[in-house]
Amino acid sequence: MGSNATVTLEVVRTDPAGRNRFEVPVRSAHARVLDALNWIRENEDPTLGFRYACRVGMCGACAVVIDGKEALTCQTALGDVESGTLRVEPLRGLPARHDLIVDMRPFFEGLARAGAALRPREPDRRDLPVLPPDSDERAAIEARNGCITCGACVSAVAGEATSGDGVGPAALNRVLMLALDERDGAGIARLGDIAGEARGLSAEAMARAESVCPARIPLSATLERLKALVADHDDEG
Amino acid sequence: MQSMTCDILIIGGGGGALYAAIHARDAAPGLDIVVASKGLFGKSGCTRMVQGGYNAVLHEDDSFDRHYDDTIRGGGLINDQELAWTLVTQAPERVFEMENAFGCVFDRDADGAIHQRALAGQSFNRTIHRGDLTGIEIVGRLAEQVLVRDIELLDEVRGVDLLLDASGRAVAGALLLDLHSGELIAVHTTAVLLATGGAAPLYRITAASLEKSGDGLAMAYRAGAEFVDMEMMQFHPTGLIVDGSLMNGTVLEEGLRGAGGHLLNAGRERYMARYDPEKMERSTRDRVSRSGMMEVRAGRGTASGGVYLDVRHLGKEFLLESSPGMYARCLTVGADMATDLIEVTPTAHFQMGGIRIDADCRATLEGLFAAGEDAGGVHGANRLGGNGVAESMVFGAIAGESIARHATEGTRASIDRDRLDAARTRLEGSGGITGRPFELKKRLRALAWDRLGVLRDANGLTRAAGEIDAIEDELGALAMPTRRGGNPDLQERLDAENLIDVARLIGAAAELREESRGSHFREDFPDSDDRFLVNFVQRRGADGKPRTEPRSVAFTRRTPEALQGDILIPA
Repeated sequence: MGSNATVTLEVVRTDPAGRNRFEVPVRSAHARVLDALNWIRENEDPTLGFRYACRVGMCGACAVVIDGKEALTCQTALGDVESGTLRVEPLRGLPARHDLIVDMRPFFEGLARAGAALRPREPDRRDLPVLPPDSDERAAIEARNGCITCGACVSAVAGEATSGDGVGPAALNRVLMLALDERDGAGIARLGDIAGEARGLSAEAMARAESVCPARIPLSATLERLKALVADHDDEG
Repeated sequence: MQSMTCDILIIGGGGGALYAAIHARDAAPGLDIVVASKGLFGKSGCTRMVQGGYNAVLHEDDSFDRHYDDTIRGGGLINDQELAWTLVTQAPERVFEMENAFGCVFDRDADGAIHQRALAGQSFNRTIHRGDLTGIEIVGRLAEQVLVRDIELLDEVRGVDLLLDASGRAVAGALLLDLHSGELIAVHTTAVLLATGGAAPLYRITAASLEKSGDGLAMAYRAGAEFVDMEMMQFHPTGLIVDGSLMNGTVLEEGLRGAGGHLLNAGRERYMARYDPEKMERSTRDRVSRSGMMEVRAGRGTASGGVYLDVRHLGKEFLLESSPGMYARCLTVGADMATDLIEVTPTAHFQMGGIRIDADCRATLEGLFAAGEDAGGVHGANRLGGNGVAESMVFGAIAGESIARHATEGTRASIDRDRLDAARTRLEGSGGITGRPFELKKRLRALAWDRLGVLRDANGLTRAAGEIDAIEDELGALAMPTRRGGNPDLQERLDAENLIDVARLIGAAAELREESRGSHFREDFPDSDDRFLVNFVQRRGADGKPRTEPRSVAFTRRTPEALQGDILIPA
């Protein structure tokens, strides 16, 4: 892409009267959607609302919907866009606050409701446990690690009716990790709380979430394994 | 203006703040704890971005003394020796806690034992990590422990000013600003912990999260707290160059140099031979950063003002195995590390200096505490890779327990009405010309890069002081934005004001340190000088400018004579 190239951004604004179409110069072949948003803020409309922090795909603050798919603005190159026009929307399924900024509290409340934090068996242990990395449990945990809590998965399954309370794919994934973790003292008990959600989420929805996860967590397989664990848990219960 | 009351207010959202919140909660279950973070919960700050890892003495052949000597040597012998000892001796405790109580897992060897490697300046393999994305593991697990505890979280709420009592010597609260609603919040509290992170984004090229603007430092400065080592700012030698993108300056970890990566100038020459022929690319961060700047200035840099990192000879398999995150990061800017040269530049990375604290993280104002990058002294003139996140965890925990104790035993001071009104008035403003602060902040960052950066001299430092004054005047002439909610212009304005205070502290101390030590390099005084085995202690004078005094280093555990010699990245 040459230095005179431009791209058109259509941005969904909270204020329906707000300007929503911007022609943005592409200053580098590697410029990101984030750079385009920042250019708009600096040159055209200082009030444009969007988030970012780390710039390198590690914090997950900049997740939005780009041309219909959830993505991080800092990891999406403008050069990858074929049409020359990009539509940028806030994440779905979370309350919009200001332009591309959504209220992330429901996402984190989902994690909290699911109890998605280690309940340690030995919190005061003063050495490090031997954890062979190739054990089945460790390998399964490792494959699911690295969530950056960006909310893309919750957006991807928005509108999906479940009998659960909407804790969302990220929370389910963490619950599975904990259920497999020998250091956790509540793994199985925790399953009961998310059973409805695990049964209710369709495989299609989870596949959609997996396809947009920037950490490439195998969410479809997570759902399958979780369903099996929940079924075992019910049998035992 | 809203008003709220709590026992403990933690300002910040990175690893230090989260660690402190957990420890304060567990130490004092009855207290009201509020965490206010400028960014989103779990996403603010730089702990998230830690690649390399965390230093802890865990192996029987390693020792506290070795880690300690490495740390003091790395710090140019001016570290606070007691704080550094605390870092070294408590780092393992926090690793046990992160794994056994909070659920982190760091990389294991095939037999399941903890894996440790070495970063620059270490005499032993003592860095634990999770691949090259260690920060995600740590902050992810800390954040969920905070979520399941009874801790009130104020997201996207920044600190504006500390609020003192009538005596002016005790902190009685803080004025906060909700970035979305624009609401001002006066918090009445018994203790405030500042853990907002440093001011590396003062510089045009930086690796840090860009929402950071030295807020904690500036708030403490305006309130009258003491600072130490503010001239010490670390530049990482291999920041990625991505022209025209906010990605510019993000770090490629130094393990790549340790593994045998080369640095080349535009003429494809391994230029480190000119500066450190013995250690070449494995020389210390400060020296490698300086060498790169000197090459560029001598006209041997790339068109974008950088140099090349060449790791092609290490092979794709090794690179993918050892640095998958860095490999992917380079691919997103169109460079394949296995086949392409990577254009890099020094980048402002970590602030060693900060608020002067005691062993309990207490600042020099009653009721005020600091931890992590907001606090100074632990690292002296230079920080070792792997000691930064260790500092945030160790001192986050200490600060959490200290504030809990203070809030339990202490009494809440009353906010002085006049001071609250003054803080409010500053934000309400009165008239001024219309204009945008973006450009002024850019100018400030450019001047810091040029004059307060990797290479300094008396002339540049003097000019910097005048230019900072001019930018402050121009900023002050702009009308304060009347729309407070959802207005990035207002945030830029407040950020720029804070960075001006930090720039002045850095400049004043750098001017007095007429020698070179650690990350501070004076072209007019290129050698280190034993007369400067001192720390510069600073506080705000009546005219708003820093008062700076040297104070001798207390060599309580090691004398300078005991620690001669140099350190480098191990192979």
